[in-house]
Amino acid sequence: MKPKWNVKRMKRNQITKIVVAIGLLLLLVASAAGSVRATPAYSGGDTDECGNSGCHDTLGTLTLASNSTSLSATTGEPFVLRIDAGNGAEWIAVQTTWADNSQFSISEMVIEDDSTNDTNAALGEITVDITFTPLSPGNLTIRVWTAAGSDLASSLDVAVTVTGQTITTTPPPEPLDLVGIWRLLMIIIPVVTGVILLILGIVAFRSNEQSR
Amino acid sequence: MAIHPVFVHFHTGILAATAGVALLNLFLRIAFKDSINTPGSRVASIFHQVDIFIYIGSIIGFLGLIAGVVTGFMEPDYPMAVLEGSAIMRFKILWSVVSLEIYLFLIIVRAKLGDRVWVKPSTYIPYATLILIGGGLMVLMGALGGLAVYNESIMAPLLDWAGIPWP
Repeated sequence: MKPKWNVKRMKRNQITKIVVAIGLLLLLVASAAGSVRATPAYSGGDTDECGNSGCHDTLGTLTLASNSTSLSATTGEPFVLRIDAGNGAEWIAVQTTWADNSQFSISEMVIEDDSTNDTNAALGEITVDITFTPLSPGNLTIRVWTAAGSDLASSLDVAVTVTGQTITTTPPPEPLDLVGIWRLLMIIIPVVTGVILLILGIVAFRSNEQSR
Repeated sequence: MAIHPVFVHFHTGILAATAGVALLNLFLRIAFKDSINTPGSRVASIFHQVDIFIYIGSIIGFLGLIAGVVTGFMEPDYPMAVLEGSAIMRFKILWSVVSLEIYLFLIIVRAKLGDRVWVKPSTYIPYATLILIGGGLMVLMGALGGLAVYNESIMAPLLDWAGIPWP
């Protein structure tokens, strides 16, 4: 039979090892959580135009064209613009905060290369039909951007002369913040996993001690 | 220069192989309990060699997984904004972190208990199950990586069958 002081020392050693294991797991979680607080993405709240603040500021290499760069329209009557981006384009975006884009209802605001709405199967080339519905009259400008890695970007302005009465619309519901949910899951799932593994570890070590 | 692909295939292969042999050891442990406790028997020899393979494979795979994660964040064409914007990449990052936790746990438990990890059901069932889960995650993330890069994967029909949505 082991003396009591020896059993106590063994328990202390066991606790030390468990604390070290918890520390390593928490370090892993903390480092992973820290790594996700980087740059906001298109799918989040980043609505600044490309070419600003050192982001996507290498202009002129990507191609961007539309089937029309000047047209007339009437409020409430939708029209379609075919946008073609190429030479390595990965995204096309038409954010409401750019130029007069907020004066239009826009069917597709962000299109990724080879996503469902991209009708051009070639890698680095995007073709998309975007439906615009003018909401107010005036000489308006639609601004479209394309972007890719290594800060590549290009923009295109389409002039639209809109006639008719102003249309008041209810704002669309906020899109589901998938990136926000993911950031939350990046904390919750590793922590829950760590706790489960810790419990399994304690059970395994205790079971091993009893079987000795 | 793309360096991530250089690192991803090795640990995916070795951890998937580790999961395969863990399944074998689990079978031997349950079906040939008496034989593996008989020193010098062929089953005991196979069992202990596979146990060593699992241990060493987990360590090497864990290191390879870390290298894969680090080089994944170093890809010039995939800055963090692009990674966050892709559902596939978000999935891969999240479950890579969980996989790192799992393999760290497996290595600590095996280092502490030695081959006694296979003695009691309370230790060998979680141990073998987590190796299988880790191997499954590695194969799944490899498949999603293939879908992200090549738009196709040999696993796509299986993902469809399992009801796992992929863009």
